[in-house]
Amino acid sequence: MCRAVMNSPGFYADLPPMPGAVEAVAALEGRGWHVVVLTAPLSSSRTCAAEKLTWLSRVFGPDMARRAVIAKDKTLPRGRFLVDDRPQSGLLSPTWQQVLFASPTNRDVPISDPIVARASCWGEVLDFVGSPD
Amino acid sequence: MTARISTPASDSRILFVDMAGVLCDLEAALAARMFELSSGRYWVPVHERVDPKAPLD
Repeated sequence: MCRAVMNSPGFYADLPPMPGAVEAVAALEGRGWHVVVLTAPLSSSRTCAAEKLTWLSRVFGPDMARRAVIAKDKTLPRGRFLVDDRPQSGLLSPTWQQVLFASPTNRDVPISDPIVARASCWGEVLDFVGSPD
Repeated sequence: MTARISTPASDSRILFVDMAGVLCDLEAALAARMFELSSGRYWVPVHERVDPKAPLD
C-alpha cells in the first residue's frame, strides 16, 4: 500500500517541507555554501523525478530546480558534504563526507566513513558543517 | 537548457542535500495519506511497516 501511494501521480509534488529546511538552506547559502539538491528517483514511479523538480521550483525557486542532480549513484558528483538520511555506496569513493540526517529507519547505521556525523535536525546540520573553508 | 551558476563553484563549497526525508517530510506525507485511505480506521507509524525509501528494484 505504501508503494502504491508513493507511485501515485502528485504524491511527490505535494510533500510538506521538513521543519526548518527552507530556513536552513537559506542560512547555508548565506554562509557561502553552494547548495545542490542530490536526489534519487523512485524507479517504480513514472512521475517522481519530474514532480521532485516541480516541488523544488515551488519551494526553493527555479534556480534550485535547475541545478538539482537526479541520480541513483550519489558517489559520482563531487562536493564537500552530503546531507542524506541513507548511507550511500556506488562506483566511486565519494569526495564528500556525509552528515546522516536522523530518521526512524537509520537508528542503527554506524558513524563510519564517509559518514562523519549524525544530525537529528537542521540546526545540528548547520552546527556541524559551519562555513566553507 | 543549460544551468547557470552565478559564480564558479569549487568542490569544497558544494554541499549536497537529499530531498525525501531531509528537505521534505516523506514519512509524514505517507502516513497521512495512508490514514486518509484507510478512512481513519487505523494509524500505524509508517516506519514500523516499511522503509519507504527501500530499493524497489
